[in-house]
Amino acid sequence: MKVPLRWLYEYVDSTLPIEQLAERMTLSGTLVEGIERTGTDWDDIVTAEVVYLEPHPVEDHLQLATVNLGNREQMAVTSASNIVVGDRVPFIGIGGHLPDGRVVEAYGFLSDGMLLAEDELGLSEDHSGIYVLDPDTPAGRPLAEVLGDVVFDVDITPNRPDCLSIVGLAREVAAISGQHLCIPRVRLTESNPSVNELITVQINDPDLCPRYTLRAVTGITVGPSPAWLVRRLHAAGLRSVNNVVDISNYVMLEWGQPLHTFDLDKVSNRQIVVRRAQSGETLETLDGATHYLTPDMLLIADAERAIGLAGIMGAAHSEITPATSAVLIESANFVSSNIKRTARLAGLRTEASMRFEKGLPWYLPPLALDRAAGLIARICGGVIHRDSIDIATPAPPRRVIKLAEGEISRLLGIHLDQKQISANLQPSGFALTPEGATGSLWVSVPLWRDDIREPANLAGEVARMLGYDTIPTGFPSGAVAAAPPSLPQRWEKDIRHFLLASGLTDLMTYSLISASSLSTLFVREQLETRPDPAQLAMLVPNPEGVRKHGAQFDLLQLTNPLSSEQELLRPTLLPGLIKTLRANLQHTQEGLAFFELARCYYPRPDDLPYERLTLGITIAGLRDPRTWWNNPPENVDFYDLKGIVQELLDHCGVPGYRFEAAQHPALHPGRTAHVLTDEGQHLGYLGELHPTLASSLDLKGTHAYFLELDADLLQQLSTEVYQVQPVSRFPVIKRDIAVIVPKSVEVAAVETAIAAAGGYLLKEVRVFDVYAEEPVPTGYKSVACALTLQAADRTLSDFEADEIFKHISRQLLADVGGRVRDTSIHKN
Amino acid sequence: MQEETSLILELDEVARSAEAELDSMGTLQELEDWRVHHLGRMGSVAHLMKRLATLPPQERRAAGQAANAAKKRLEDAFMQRKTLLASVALDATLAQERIDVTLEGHRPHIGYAHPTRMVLEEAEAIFQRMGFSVIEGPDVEWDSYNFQQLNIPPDHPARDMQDTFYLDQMPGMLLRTHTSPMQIRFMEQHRPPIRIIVPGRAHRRDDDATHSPIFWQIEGLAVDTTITFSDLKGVLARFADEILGCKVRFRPSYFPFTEPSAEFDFTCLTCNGRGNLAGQTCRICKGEGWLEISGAGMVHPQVLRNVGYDPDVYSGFAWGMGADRIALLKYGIGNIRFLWEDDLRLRRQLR
Repeated sequence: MKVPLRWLYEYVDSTLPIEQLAERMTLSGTLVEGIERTGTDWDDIVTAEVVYLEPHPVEDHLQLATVNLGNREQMAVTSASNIVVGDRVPFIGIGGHLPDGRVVEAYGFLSDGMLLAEDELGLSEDHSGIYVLDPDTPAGRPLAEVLGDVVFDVDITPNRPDCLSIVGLAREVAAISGQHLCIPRVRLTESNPSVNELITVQINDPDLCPRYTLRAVTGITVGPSPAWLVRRLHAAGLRSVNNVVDISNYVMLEWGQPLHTFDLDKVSNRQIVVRRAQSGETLETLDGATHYLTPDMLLIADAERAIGLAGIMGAAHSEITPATSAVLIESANFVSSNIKRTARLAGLRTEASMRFEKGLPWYLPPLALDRAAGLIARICGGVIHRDSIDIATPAPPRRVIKLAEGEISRLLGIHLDQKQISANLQPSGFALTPEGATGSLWVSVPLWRDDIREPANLAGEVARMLGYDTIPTGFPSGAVAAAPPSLPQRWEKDIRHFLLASGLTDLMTYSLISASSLSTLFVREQLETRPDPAQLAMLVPNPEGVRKHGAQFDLLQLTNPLSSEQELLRPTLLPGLIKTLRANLQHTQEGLAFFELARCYYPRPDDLPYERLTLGITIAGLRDPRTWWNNPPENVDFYDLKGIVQELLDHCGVPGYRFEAAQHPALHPGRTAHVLTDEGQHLGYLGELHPTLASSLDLKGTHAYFLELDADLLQQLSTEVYQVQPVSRFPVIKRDIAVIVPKSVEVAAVETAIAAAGGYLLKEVRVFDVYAEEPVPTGYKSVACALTLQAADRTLSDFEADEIFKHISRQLLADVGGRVRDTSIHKN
Repeated sequence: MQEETSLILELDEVARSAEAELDSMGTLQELEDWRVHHLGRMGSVAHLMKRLATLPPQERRAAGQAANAAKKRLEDAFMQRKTLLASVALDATLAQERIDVTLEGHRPHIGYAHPTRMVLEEAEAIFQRMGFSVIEGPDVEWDSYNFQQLNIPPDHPARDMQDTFYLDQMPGMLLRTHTSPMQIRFMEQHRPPIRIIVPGRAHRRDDDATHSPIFWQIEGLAVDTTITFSDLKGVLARFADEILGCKVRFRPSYFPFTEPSAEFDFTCLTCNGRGNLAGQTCRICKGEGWLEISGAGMVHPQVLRNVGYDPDVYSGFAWGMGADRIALLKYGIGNIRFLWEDDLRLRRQLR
């Protein structure tokens, strides 16, 4: 809310410098977000009275104005035609500096300076005429003294609708500064006949309208508002419409009570009914929109039709027009929840509804009503009719709260006696009565503070009046030992650090994705629609694990997404990984190695979704940057990614895991694997992005590799305790073996055969060459392995090694149709 | 006597001239030739020493001593020269092997930690030292935990501040707008004393330079018989001091689930709380000098009642701080989107 200080100072004096006032307000709960000053650049501008106007002797379209500056007269040339003799206007002499920095130059020999329009003063963009000041403005004063102002932009918390008003803020300033609050009583001069003879009011639904007050002012002239009113509204952020509407807005800003003014002559049958809308009823509001009403919406209606959506906006047909001569002013109280619902359903949020939604006090309507009537009579002319209509439910009693002795101290941790408590509550309008010798206090709550309901609220009031910085800085007493992090928490942290050390950069991507980012992944299917559950299951790691947790493969759709880019809770990390990779590929081929360890979401019937911790990895681009030692550089490949996973699974101590060629909708059919546990449980997948997908994603020819693992399962499979095996002190025998196998045989089968035949003395099999060219026959490949043999209790003889190799040869032939081409012995 | 004297003189002469030659032996090979020539079995010294046998016994002793001395002298000189030449040769080899140390090194592959994650891990450690246990909760929540039981009824004005993502799956299912639902979940399951923090994702329908629809919060909750607002101030001030060493400010605010409520601000590290740098508005705090880090306050008595605690016996404090905000402040990041875009050009700067 914007608060022009000149307006505020009508109700409270403050001697505090502006910055200090802003800080005191902020530190007592009224956050001052901005301070805007007008008039700081008006040093050379003064007020002047126009004493004579004549046509310019040479140029037809110009006038020559003689203005009085109090102690002397000056001449100014102007093209504006809106001024008359007697007007007070801003004047700047030749050589003076305008707010935009320009220096005023002479316009012909007749000119001593110039008269200024709003835009030249920096007040607005308006250049339609000279800015005319209030008629009682003295001449010859610095303009800043007359017109300069400071406007605070304050943020009002939703519990303080009373502070959405100048009066409410004046109360706050009075309380924090110790200054006297001065709200003049409104005295009205009333005339016959009584308002009751002009109009009748009937409240059909008092449950939605606890109070309805109405006054009539007739014989008014609708026209432009006086300059001060326009200026105040403008400073507060509102546009001027006409004097009647401006006054109702002015009073709303001043008192926080929205008003509705409408044309008495347009009220059919001179009867107002406050009622719920009928089904099918429509209403065209002031803004020209037509609303279809429902029976839970409250209307202000006449005998025939609605004249306003209660508390929100008036109807177009009864609005104040230049022809209006009799005005009705409505000041009412409506139930906040109903206004909120109606405003939402109607898609209308107005200054009025915004205030009603937060709940306004019962006592307020007549005060604002009289203030508005008085201003209308003064500014628009006309007479205020005798009496006001006031139909109300019984006044709610003033709330009284019992504050037990020590309660404030118990909550705040600072000792305050009754006197101190009282000193911090009374300035805000609380009344305190001690309860005999019990030490308790009865605290009577001001009518405008509906938010104060129990002792904790009073502790809050005391604390903010004291200032939070006054409350000492303590520390919870009593030692409480933090529980150690849980196993999954420790595991997650360990894995994160392991992956960082493996050269992968930690990602955080949005858990909300688009449906199209999933459909895109189905390359062969060319999916146009959202993937169905069966398709989705093909996309995610360990789909069985999802089912085991009672979850399904439906998409979790947001009801109210911000955009289609973020409409679903992700079932896979893949879209986020792809997006990050793509963005970085725009500028680099280096260091493209990322991981994300975060949740994916799968719905469960009648329950919250299964949120599964998932590990995603992507690598692409160059293995090492192109440097003097690496030129030309090489690209990463499938085995770089596989190596990371192997290292990770070994780190986790997962026993007997293996890789199997597999299919995945988004990956290269010949370069994809599943990661399986020794028991055949699915841990996840890895592979190269399908080339078609890579080109449709415009990955600039880069081969990209992706992996996803069920991290919940991986965590469960991880071993925390490692026990080392003793190292044999006997020498090892190292021999290489090259075996020719049919090309279709996987190396893993060769390794398995060798391992099976090698028995416990075979310590390691490492493939160091796979070769499928001459002299290897067509359709075959040569697999060369380095074998390490060692016994724990003796030195192996060459004879034993020879025997083992014979076994291995036989096994290779039997299991994979392999023929040993060559063996060689390494001495070391 | 003459024989003896003559031999000694000859030895001396041979030794002297051999020594003189030594200085001109420039390579190890020349030096070796010199050794063979003078000290070898057929060398000049050996040749003279053979004549010892021809001397009379009484003269042999003195001449023998002289011969050995001469031999020793030459051997020492030889070793000295050899050491020198070896070191010269090594120097030459090493000079050959000189590399350009200014060339770029082979860097190992290093992954970059996420700034928000670094803040989360550091914050967890700090609060653990203060006795707070770390727990986690679901990202998808029920309306009841996210709002209702936190004293935010359906038509409460505070819902203005919480523009919430709902899910089609079931009515009342939503993406939690804060980590506070875990206050309720934890208190439902435990009795005081309670000291927990809850790091996690939170979601709001907001998307601009300072708001991301998804962000990280760290919830804190302490409930016991003697917990005060003063204790809250102490815990958060200590946190601020440990994580950034910056000044803090508490100012009154409003949340439906705390009373009294506070906003907890950190001074901006980039501009040192001045709001501007070299006349430019500070891009981190947008000229405020302060950055809102956390909402906080004493747990509202209604919230305590909702979980079956007697608010006349127990009191507690709670906060919900923005981990992303701390990361922005700590690393001088001007736009919260950076934390979600993972641009390597920026990430590489944080090691």
